[in-house]
Amino acid sequence: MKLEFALELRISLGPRMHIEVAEGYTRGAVLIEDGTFSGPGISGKVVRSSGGDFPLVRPDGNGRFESQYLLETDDGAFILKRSTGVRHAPPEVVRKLLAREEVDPQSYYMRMTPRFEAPAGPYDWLNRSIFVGVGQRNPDGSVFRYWKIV
Amino acid sequence: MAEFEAPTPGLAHAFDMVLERGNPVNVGQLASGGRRTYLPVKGGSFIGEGTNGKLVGGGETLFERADGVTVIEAVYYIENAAGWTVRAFGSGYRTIAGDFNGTRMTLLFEADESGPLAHLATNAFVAEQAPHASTLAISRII
Repeated sequence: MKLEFALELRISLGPRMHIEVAEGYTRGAVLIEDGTFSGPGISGKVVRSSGGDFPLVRPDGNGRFESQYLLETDDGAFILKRSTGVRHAPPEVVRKLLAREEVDPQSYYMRMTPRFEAPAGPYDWLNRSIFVGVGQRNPDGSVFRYWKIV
Repeated sequence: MAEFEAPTPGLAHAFDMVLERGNPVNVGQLASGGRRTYLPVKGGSFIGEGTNGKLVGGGETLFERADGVTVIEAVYYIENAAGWTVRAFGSGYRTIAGDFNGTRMTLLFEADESGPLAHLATNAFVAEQAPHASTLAISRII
């Protein structure tokens, strides 16, 4: 298996909401405000209000995320993107991430496995490929890069 | 927005899982446009990174789509030699034409936090199996 760069997403995030599902365990809800994506043969924007990221955070601040939202390509195709992932980092790094402070992107493990539902046509390769992603949290949003397994 | 400075990921081979599958359970052609089948896991082995385990349960749920791609959702229960059990779960595709011929999926683990396999839950993995092969090669996303 090898990795082939597929696309980069840049998204800005709305306010974070929290649901305390058990003592110390929080389901976060961060809605996507805006975003763009681009890669070889594909580019477009994230559809406003089409979803968000819903991480389950453990007492030590690490956890798993589950996101779902829509992409719209520049030629008008809608693509549903769902993703699950893992974040693991030392406590001080987690504290800064949750406070939306500047953090060295090399200091935490944030990997995700996005999957897509695209219409038949030029983007249907998304429907039969698996992907590996890396995320970078910035104070004003997130950047994700996805690589296709080839 | 800041430049992308996060690491470029890589894949590091971690485990080989040999699956013994039971007889398929066929649900049939669904109104949602594909054929549903279930393959129970009867047994098997899980070896790598100092772990020598066996498959103690699980199964693969298949959905053969109209476009010829089979979506696979898998759950595997693995017990190591000391009796600790982990749950691996994930999804992917089985394709028989195009860029790749075989099964590829992504996997995450759940493990007892106080046990020796807890570290498996802190990483994400991908897996690949050639058609008709019994071995699933599992790589850690680094």
